[in-house]
Amino acid sequence: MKFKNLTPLELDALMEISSIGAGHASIALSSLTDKKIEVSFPWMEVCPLETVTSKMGRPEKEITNIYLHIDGTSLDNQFEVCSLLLVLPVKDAATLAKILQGEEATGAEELSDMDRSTLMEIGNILAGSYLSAIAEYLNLSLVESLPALAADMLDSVMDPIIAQHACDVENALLFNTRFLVEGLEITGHFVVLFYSHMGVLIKNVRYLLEMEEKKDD
Amino acid sequence: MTKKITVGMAEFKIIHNPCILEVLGLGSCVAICLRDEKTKIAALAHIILPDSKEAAQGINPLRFVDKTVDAMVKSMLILGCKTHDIKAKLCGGAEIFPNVPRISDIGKKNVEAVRKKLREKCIEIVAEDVGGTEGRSIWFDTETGEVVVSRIHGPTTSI
Repeated sequence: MKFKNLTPLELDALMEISSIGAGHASIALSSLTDKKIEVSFPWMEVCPLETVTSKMGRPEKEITNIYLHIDGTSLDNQFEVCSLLLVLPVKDAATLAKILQGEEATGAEELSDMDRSTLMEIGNILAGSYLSAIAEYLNLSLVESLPALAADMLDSVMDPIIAQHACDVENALLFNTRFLVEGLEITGHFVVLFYSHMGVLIKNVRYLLEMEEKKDD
Repeated sequence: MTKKITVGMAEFKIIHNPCILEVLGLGSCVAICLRDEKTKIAALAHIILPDSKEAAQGINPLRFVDKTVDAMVKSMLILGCKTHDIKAKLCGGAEIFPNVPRISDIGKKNVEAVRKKLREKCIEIVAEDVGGTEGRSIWFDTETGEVVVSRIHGPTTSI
């Protein structure tokens, strides 16, 4: 399935829906930690599976990757919908985890068990918020898996997840992701890899755009 | 200095002049290094999945072991290599998320598929650095056939 031919308007609409998800995530993380946390997606890109990692940095960059698998159910059928990934440089991931735990950032480049579970929770919240924003466009109820975390070289950590999708899709949605926590800025990437439902999403986004145009007329 | 050429995901390169073929950040994917000892023609491919049978239409065939090995061997034979002179080395196939059953065994399946396919083609595997839970970067020297393997946490080795 190819989505290179998305119009700027459709891309804008996808971006807007996703920004709503980022907004939900900001509220959830802020109320959980009692700190002002802003999550935003400054830009988005649709890119081929083979090149998605090259947009995120050097292949050997040490990163943490938080992975969730999403299933959908409709009329008692369960099927695979997408994979969601939050990718952060290891050092930034450690800093973010420490701040959310209410501790001083130590600048450590290794993750403790506590850091790992904090990061998985962040991934969980971000994924949940994003899904609640797109769910109505998919007409499905969505079920998240438990988050999993791996820390290693960028390309090697992306390998098995890209492999999951290599049989049936061409493209991935790549969001540049910014966390603003108490004046500190941390940037990473949020990646959405659909199995085959991206078509449904785009179709419904298109449909709603048309409805809005009619309203404006 | 010898020229370095990077081989990305779902790519394969075939080389006559001596050079270094590199793959950076190899996880569950497998790098297949082939080299003809007489002509010193060498090829390196970076595959993602074992079998193209499950692939949808229009998907890049070089993502899959079967099609890629066919293409590599065919190209080498056209350039004058002989099957019995071609030796193979394999790297990669790690388990990056060992706790996630859905994706933990992709690496192992890839390695098995490559072994099977090379056996079908009567190409001998002379060395392997596969499995484990860590990502690798590799540098394949087509002049000597040596493959240097490095990891973030762990020693650099060569096969």
